[in-house]
Amino acid sequence: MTDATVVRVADLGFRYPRQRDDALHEVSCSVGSTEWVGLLGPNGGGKTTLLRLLLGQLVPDTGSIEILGGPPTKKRQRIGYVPQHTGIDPSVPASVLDVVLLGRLSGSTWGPRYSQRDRGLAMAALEETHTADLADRAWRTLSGGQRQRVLIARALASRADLLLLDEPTTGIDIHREKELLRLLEHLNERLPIVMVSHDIALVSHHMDRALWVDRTVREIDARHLDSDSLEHFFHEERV
Amino acid sequence: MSQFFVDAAVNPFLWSGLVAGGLASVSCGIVGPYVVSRRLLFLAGALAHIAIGGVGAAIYLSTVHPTVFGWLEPIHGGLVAALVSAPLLAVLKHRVKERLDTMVGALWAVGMSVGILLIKITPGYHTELMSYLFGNISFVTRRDLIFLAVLSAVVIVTATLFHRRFLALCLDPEQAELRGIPVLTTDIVLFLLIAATVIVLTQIVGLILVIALLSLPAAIGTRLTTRLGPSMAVTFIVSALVTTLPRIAVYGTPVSPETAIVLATAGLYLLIVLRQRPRAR
Repeated sequence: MTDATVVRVADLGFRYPRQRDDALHEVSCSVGSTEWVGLLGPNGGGKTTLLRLLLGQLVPDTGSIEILGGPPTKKRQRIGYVPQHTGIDPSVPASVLDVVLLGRLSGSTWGPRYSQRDRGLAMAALEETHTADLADRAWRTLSGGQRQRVLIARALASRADLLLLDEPTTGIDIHREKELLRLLEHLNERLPIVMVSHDIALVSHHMDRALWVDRTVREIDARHLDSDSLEHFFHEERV
Repeated sequence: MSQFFVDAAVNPFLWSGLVAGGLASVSCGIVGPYVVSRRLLFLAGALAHIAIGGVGAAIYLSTVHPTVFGWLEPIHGGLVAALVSAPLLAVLKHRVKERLDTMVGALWAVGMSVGILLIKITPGYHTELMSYLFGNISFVTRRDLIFLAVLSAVVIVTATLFHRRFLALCLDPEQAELRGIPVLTTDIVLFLLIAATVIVLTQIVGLILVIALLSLPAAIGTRLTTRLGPSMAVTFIVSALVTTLPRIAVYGTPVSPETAIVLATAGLYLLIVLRQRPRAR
């Protein structure tokens, strides 16, 4: 199977307004179409910033980003994004299906109802994440693990060609985490995944490759990752 | 209570007040759940108070320069002030990440102060501000009813066209933006809709009642339902009931209908909050 490049970052530099230092400096990396790549690094190292640049929410000061063969702002609709903290307001009366249908929004969305095709795609995504039975449930009644699955369903409903996940296992119990990782393994059979995580065991068990993000990016072999090697990276970068 | 129906046979204003309540309920039923879900009540309140500046300007200009501005009515000034402020507040909400409440509060206070100042320096005695604050649901004219009907039509058409975009903004603005929805522009449309609703309703039911009608029935509607569409239906029904029954009940007593409407709505909300079990997590 050929592994075409779906993410290509070259000499990227980014600095937040009114900050003295770059958040990311001379970053170059790539992700292949069959890969599941972990983003590791210390807090404040720039992992979420890198995700936001990949999503086109931030614009690089220097260098370039190519996603699925084009600039992020043009390819955004083909990226399924699952944030660390869901921005979904639980006080808003909405069903699970309403949330998943957000993945079917586009600039040409007008009118009060989604089409049968949109609803069909949303239901298929719920089936794939084993949450179809929750479709009519109120979003506010879901557990943390259920919410993560539904957010992945939302990403799938958009017919994404790339999944970006920001610490999807945060706050869910070990049993739900295992279920979620099985689901991601299954999805990785047809989708490239880039996932921020602090869990070394998770990264070394499920991924071949990881990127250590601490202002700059360096590639690491995830299969031989342990807490000692991570400490070494951390110490090396700080020195 | 029976006296209301006896008098209604000879006093058409009593019926027009009820019709006004029903029409106001249409706008509140649709706009209210958006306001509550998007947490915009403070901004809606600011719009209503900023509009006092426009009301004051209209009263001043029409009194001091009657040959040029004699046609100007207070609501015209209020509507212009609110419609100009709505996009400004939407931009502030998006651009100012910190101290938004302080800035909105400042605009709220400045709008009111300008309005009161202009009315103070206008020659003669003016009661329009009191009418703006407390409304007059007992004397709704045919023109007011037409105004309300047009507002209801505008609200229905706009909400039908924009519903999925508004719902996306209420639920998850970040996802909406990633999916290609122009979030600021959509918010500006929503704010303009809120501004028009607030001002036209204020003319009929008063500033204090309009805030209550925009918030409390919608708070009940969003609490009792699990989807935004049905919550609009519940909000409409609650609004229609509370703008009708309390004012019939207090007819002929010293209690003003506006006060009865607000207290009944607040009482109903409190009852539902107390009777409902805490939500499942």
